[in-house]
Amino acid sequence: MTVRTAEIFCAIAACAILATAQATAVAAQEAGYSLTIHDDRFEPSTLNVKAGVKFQLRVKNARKVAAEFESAELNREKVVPPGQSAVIYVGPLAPGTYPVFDDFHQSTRGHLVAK
Amino acid sequence: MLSTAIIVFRETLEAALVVSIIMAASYGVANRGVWVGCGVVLGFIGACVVAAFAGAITAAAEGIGQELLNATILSVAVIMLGWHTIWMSQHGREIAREMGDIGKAVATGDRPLYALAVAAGAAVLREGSETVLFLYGIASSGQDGSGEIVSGGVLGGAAGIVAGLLLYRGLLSIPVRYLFGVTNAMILLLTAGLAAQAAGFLVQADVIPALGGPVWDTTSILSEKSLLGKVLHSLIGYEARPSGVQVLCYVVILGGLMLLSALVRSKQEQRRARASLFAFAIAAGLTGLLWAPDARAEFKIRYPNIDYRQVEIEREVSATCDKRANRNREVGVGMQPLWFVGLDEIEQHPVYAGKHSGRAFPSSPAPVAREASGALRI
Repeated sequence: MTVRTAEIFCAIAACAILATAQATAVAAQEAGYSLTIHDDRFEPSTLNVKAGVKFQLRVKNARKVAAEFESAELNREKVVPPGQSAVIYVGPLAPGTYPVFDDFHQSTRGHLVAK
Repeated sequence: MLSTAIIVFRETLEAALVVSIIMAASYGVANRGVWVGCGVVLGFIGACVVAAFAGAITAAAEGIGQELLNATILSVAVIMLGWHTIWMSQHGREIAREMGDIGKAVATGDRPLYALAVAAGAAVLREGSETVLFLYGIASSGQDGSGEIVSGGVLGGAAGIVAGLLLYRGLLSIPVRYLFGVTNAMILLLTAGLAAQAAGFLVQADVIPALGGPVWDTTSILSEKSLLGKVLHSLIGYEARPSGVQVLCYVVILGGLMLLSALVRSKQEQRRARASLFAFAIAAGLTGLLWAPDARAEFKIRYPNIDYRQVEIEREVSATCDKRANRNREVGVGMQPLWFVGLDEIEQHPVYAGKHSGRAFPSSPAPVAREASGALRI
């Protein structure tokens, strides 16, 4: 172990922390939203959420089989057992439309719209 | 049937890729098949248990039980693979030399097989529990004939295992001399990727802050849903839209393991490791620059008033010509004959009297900004 190696590692860590801290947004947590997965659709199929704040999303699976709530745009995925509700924390989101779907039944699709 | 096969294939593929890397990394060690096999079987049994208690796990810990469990499983895999990486950097060279001399696979030393077995089991447990839950759901609902499910599941599972075997065969075609170098690098990237995934679950559960994000969005170039995206996600932890803390975890685990490996190596290897760490630091630094705030030329470009090898520590340095900011303190150093770097503290006046006068009347305490600067001497 040389001092040099330690220095380099510190430099890497510092770079990484700086890079991520740049993007950090401090936002107060908002009240949650709910979404239900039915056999053929999300309810509501378009969920309006507030942009710029972190929020709790409660996803209920009203199917008789397991579902997987997923969204590449939100970078979230979670299995929801039949008849259960799952809690997912999302955001803060930039304004825009975020498609969501059930990964186990890919024709079931919906949207989150952040405003 | 096809949709069932595709979903099972995707989940099996991830686990199979991890297991095949582990099998290649333990090439030539006695009883590795038994160890890794036990890991896989126990992982699968664990997956069934997790699927059976899926409801309770989802509801646990105020709804974040699933994320905590996934993060724990992934962390166990990270620790085991990390331990293996460090162990190998201590002994890997001797192993490769012995094997090269004899020209055959030889059982060498007491490689931490348990670490690899646990990591393989963790991979199967993590991917398997979702598959089992999915298949069980369809089977019990009767919306698809049970024969269809079985054939779909078997087809998908077999395809995933074949993909894993292909990777394994491919790795074994590498000359023994380089094999462990390659598998070590792959395990290193795999470990960092698993750590980033664990961080992702903890962000989803709101246990740790996301630290901003997405840091980048490459969905349009390579979607995580595509086959290549999925394979890269499993192998090196590719994320199309990672949060800041995921990138941080990846970099810290990768850098930390490389550092620890370098520490236990020989003198000559230490030198080489230092060179690669240096290259890595430069790459990380350049990547960090991508998120640097936009430069404001009026403040940043100024004549450097210190010379090569001089160090300056100043107070009440200067006011800018437009009276918008006042440089309170400045610490700088002349790094190179042509290059100056420094840290400034800048007081910015929040209220301006008007364009014509250009004078500032601060009505509230002026915000203070700190910035790093560099200037080229011309």
